[in-house]
Amino acid sequence: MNQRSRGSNVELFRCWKQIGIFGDFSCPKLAEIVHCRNCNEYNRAGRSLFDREISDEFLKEWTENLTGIKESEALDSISVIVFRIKNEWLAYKALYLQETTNIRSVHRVPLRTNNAFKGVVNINGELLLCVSMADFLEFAPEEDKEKTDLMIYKRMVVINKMGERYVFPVDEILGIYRIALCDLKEPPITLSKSPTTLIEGVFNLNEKKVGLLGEDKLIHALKRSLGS
Amino acid sequence: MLFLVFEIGDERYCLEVSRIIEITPMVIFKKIPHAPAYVSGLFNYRGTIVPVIDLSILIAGKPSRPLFSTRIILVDYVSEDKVHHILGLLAERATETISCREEDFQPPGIEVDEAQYLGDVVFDESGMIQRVRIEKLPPENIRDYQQEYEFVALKENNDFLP
Amino acid sequence: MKKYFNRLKILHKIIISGLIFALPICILLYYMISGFNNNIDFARMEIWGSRLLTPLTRLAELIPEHQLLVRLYLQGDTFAQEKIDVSTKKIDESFAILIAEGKKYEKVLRIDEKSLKAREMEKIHYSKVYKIWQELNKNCKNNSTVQNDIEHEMVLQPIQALIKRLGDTSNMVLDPDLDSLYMMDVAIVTMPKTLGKLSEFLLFGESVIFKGFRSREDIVKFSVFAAMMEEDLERVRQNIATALREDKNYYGSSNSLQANMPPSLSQYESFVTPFLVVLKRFANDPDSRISVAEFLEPARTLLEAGAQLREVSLQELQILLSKRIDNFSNKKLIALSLSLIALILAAIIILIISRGITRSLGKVIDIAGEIAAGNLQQAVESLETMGKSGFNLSNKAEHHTGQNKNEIVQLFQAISTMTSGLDALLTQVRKSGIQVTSSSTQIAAAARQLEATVAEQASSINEVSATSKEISATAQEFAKTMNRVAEMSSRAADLASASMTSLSDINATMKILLENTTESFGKLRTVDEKMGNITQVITTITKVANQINLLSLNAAIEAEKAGEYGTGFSVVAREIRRLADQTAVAAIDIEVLIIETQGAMKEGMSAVETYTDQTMTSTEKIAEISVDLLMAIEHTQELAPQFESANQGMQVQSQSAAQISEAMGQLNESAKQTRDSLVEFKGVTEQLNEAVRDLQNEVARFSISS
Repeated sequence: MNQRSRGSNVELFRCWKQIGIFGDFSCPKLAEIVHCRNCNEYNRAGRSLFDREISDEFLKEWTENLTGIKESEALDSISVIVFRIKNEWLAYKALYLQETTNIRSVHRVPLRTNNAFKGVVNINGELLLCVSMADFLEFAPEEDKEKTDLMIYKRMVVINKMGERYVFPVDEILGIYRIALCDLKEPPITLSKSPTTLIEGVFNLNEKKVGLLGEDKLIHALKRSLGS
Repeated sequence: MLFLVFEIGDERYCLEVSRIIEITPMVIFKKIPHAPAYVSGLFNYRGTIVPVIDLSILIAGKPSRPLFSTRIILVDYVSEDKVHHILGLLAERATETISCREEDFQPPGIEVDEAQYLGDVVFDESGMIQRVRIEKLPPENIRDYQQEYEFVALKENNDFLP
Repeated sequence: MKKYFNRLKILHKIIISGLIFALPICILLYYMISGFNNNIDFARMEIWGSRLLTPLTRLAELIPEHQLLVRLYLQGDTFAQEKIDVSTKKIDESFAILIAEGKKYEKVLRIDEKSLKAREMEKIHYSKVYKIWQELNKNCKNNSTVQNDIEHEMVLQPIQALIKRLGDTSNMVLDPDLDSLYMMDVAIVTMPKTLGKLSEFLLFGESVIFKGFRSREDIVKFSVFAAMMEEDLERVRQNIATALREDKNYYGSSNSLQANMPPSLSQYESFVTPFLVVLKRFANDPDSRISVAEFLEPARTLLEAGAQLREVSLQELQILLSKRIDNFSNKKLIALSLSLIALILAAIIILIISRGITRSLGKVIDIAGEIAAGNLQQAVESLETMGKSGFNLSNKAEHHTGQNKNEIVQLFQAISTMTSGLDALLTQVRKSGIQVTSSSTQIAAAARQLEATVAEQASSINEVSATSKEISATAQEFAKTMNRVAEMSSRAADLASASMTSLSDINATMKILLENTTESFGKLRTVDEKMGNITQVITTITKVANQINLLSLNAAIEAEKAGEYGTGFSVVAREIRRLADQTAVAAIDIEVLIIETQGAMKEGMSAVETYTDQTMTSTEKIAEISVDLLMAIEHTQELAPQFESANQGMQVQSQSAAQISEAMGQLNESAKQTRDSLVEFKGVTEQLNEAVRDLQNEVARFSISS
């Protein structure tokens, strides 16, 4: 607790390894805070890692980085989450995004299940409807892509528009991006079949062609699909 | 209210987050000739020329070390003529925030004329944290440095400007 | 050369060494005499120089006087005519002396025409000067005043140059003695100069008086001249005083110098004073009028007095010089006669010494001849007679220490000692002859005893022969044992080569082991290097965690700005920050782990290294052991033939023992022969006895004193 004992001591005495969660659990504080990650000492020890000297390259890199204008400060733009389902890259407005989670088990609901509606999922204690966008949008099955990148995780996306909430699994989340409205283009006619009717516009992101789902159309279509 | 905590020497200080625009890692500064020692220099912050004050020099007299935890705190500085400027403050260990109320702060009991920017203090489990008052920071003529820099930058083929 | 010298008689040798000593002494004498001669020549040169100088200085005074008289005559002084005639006569006389002396000494003093010509001074030769004078004398009465002055000058100048030249050549200036040097200064330098100046001044003074008035310059000249006169007088006075004082230090004081100089000087002084009074009056009182006669009269008397002083000094100088010459001549004579006397004395002494030696030696030769003839008694007698007749041979001489005896005496003593020694020796020999006779009888008895001993020896030899037979038997036994040992050692060699094979197997295995450990060491090193690479990853994690922390802070800032809407997000931001902290802790943990692993790895590596070293040492040791074993095997194998040879040696020994036994038998035989020889030895002893008797008879031939 002594403020002056921070930093250098950590290397000599890593309490979590000795008496903490990775040690013999003898630390009296554990009763209160359960896990070492809740302990100030532990966090401070972690932050001591940032007390290392930075390289000149790091300095140069950030000097360069900060000269760029923040995207949010650009003109009219919207924030979207970009994800992949099968081989298609899709985007959805972040404004109507509640959260993303790891894959959770889907509880089938007898009689109500069809090829799009898969069941219910427990999100923060609430049961929400889970749909398979792949089946809903009738995408072709995924080609056997080599799974080289270990950093690709399947996730679940929770959307929320005016209290209407749905959950659907995605194969990969690229991240949240801000795109200028002017970058949006009309979807090509040839694509405007049944799934593409839900697509409001198309934009390029890192040489990927991404289709922006229209939130109203999607929710309307989902509602109708479930209703039927 | 949320405060950003940072350290100078072994002492902890804080800044109210509402006045902070952004926190960035340390960068390379353009030195300003004849400026006071505590002025680290200028840098291009997203197209704006921002002067940076090294709080370490200002308060403790020795410059901030180039560490990962040493960061530029970009604050909204209102000069006497009510004009808003962006001002960079360089400080070590700017890695944590603390949440506390205005009434938790107590006057330090002693006020130094040369260091009016050091305000009330608050205590947490690790000890005392002193508040830094942005409006009392010394850079009355920081604007001059900015203009001077812009002039220099123009002459140098805008190598710092985007 | 040496042989020749040895053949010479003693007298001749002494004469030769005397001559060798006389030679350098003669050379030294020669140098000394020539030194005296040089000094005499030096002084003689000075005398000649002064003789020539006398008429020359006289001329130097007379010619200005003549000039003055001629001037007066030309100015119309009729009385001058007579005076001119007198002056001309004086000058002619002086010239006559000059020419007479010049002819005698011009060569020596290097003023002959030849040597003057060599120096481009032929004009000053006295004969040419005399010609110029004759010219002048003819024309003087018809000339103008100016012409008159020029012509006189032409005579005066070479005379003065000649004086200078003579001063140089006659060494006068280099005079070594103080009295003559100062006299010379008076006679040849100071007085002539003073008188010359006085003569010139007379001309000048006459012209001033004749002119009738005195310019300022004239007055100054008068006073300067008065001062000069005083100064010169002072110098003369001092020089004469010094000469008188120093005179006695150089070859004794000269009576004529001490007697003549002071009166001449005081006379000169007494004439200077009135002249100075006139001069001073002339200089100080511009209105005083002085007639020519009034001026010239004291001047002329002064001149005469000066000349007389000069003459006297010159005479005295010559006396001094001749005195010096006499001195040196005397010295030369003394040196020569002393040397001659010394030489004659040396010759006489040499003769006496050599004669003494030769006579004594002759006597010694006589005595030695008598001793050779065996007349010892007579030799002793003649020695005794000699001792009485002068030589201190007897006890009296022996009392003196060795230093005081001369060699001849010593020789006689030695011969005397020798004679008495010889006498004693002969007596001793006679005695010894008797002793030898008795000794030979004893020897005969000893020979008989020896005979008995030889008989005993024969029986001992028989015993030795028996013992050697026993030795032969023992050696054969030993040879058998040796054979057994040889068998055993060959078996040991077989065993050693078997263990040698096992050792080389072990060595091969060790080598494989060594290779394996080296390989595993290499692998460990590779792992160590890989571990180093992980550190790079830590740096990357640090960057990422830092970025997350930064992001969370900025998120918190944004959330705070969003007010109520952002509260949820601020919680997320904090969570992210905690996540970053955990990542950081993980990074630290990994790093510590790496450091620990690396430490362990280093230890492992050093352990492997130590092990490798040990293995290598063992391998080397095994190699060494194998070499040792190999050598052992070789040695053992070599043993077998050595045993063989030992065996053979034993057999040889056995045979030798048998041979010894045989030899002993032969030895016995020879003992018998020895006994026979002894009988012969006895006969020989008899013969010895006889020989001694002969010797005694021979010695008896010498007539011995006792």
